[in-house]
Amino acid sequence: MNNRITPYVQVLVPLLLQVAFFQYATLFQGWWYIGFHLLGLLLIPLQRAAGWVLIISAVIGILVDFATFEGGLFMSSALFMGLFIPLINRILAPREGYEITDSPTIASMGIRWFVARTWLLIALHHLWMFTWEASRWDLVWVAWGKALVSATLTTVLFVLVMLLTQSRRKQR
Amino acid sequence: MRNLWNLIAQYHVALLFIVLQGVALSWFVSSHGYPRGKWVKRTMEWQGSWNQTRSQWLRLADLDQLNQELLAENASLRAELFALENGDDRTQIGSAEVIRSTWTGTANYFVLNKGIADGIAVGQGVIQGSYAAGKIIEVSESYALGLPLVNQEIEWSARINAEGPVGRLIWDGHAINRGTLLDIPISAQFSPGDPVLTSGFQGYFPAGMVIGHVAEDPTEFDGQFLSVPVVLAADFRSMRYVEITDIEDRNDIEAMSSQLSPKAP
Repeated sequence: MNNRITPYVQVLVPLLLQVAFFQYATLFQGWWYIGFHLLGLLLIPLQRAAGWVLIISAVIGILVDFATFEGGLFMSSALFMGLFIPLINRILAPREGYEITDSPTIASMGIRWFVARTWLLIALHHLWMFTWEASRWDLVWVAWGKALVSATLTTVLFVLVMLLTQSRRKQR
Repeated sequence: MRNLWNLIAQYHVALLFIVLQGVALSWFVSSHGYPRGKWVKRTMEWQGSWNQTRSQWLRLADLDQLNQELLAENASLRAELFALENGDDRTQIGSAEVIRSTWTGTANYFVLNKGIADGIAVGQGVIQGSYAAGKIIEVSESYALGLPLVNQEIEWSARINAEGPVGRLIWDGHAINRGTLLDIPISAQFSPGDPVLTSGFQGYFPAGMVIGHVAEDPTEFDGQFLSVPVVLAADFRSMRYVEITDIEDRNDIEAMSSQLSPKAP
């Protein structure tokens, strides 16, 4: 695939999957929410400026909100996650920094980097989203439990998806 | 302006996040059941509290306006009443607010919020309620400086009862509600509680305005005249809204009298 189109496809395909197939995918009595569109956010190129990451996050969130009638919850959560993407990228950056050809995939950055980044970002997203969804202090502990369990299961799913879909490339 | 742009450029990510997050959360709370109810409830509480505070402020402002209107109306009615009671239609009465006053010294003064622009002039009398309280000694375009009865540096012309002898009212600098009426002849007939009234000789006040009443304290005799203790009627501590008396031909009378004698009574 053309390298210039790939990042857009990587963001749009998970979004379409989420809207078309996974929008009601909440398993284990709410303990696993599959937010497939988040994979698109995770795959935003590492070199993208923080402002653009926020805008892309907001747009993806809005589209999911429109599709699911959630009224701002996904936008807000995606924005919260988008805010942390550059920060987490910096924290997890290799000693010599990222190369221009690096992409946020297992093939490019390795499974440990991908798992750590994915879990942290999805956990932040879910903590924010589940807290707002609960909106009550007596439900917040359960909400946070669900957020962390869901983040773990989603990370596993995304790793599997990446392993199945990404072509193997030299790891750093 | 350039600094502002620099600041925005520096924190554009944070600002963008705040703006977009604000939009998202507003959308969320306006479209969800429980958060919406909670949010609306809180917002209503805040708005209700703010509206109540604002309404109180507005009411206070209205009250102030109302006070001013009532004061002006009161002054006008007092002038009419005074004209009817005394057959004196030369006295105009206006209103003003005391914005500064002292009563703890011996040279006390007060400042009014009206001046030349409002028709206030030097020599006009100041009354509180219906009691004589002081006189104007200096005016600027918007403010007036006055001396109250409780100032040791001036004397006031007063009489006991409407037809009684005239004397000099002074304040000895002690009790804020006490004065002494000097130069009252020993032949004068009066008793404690009798009204002490303005004589009208100085031109500050029309004749017959209440200054106070004769106190219960013993009258002193200096060999020639009596010194009569007087309880002052005006409450100088709480002076806020006052009225100004303006006698129409005061200037003419003063001009004539100053040629003969510089000092009244």
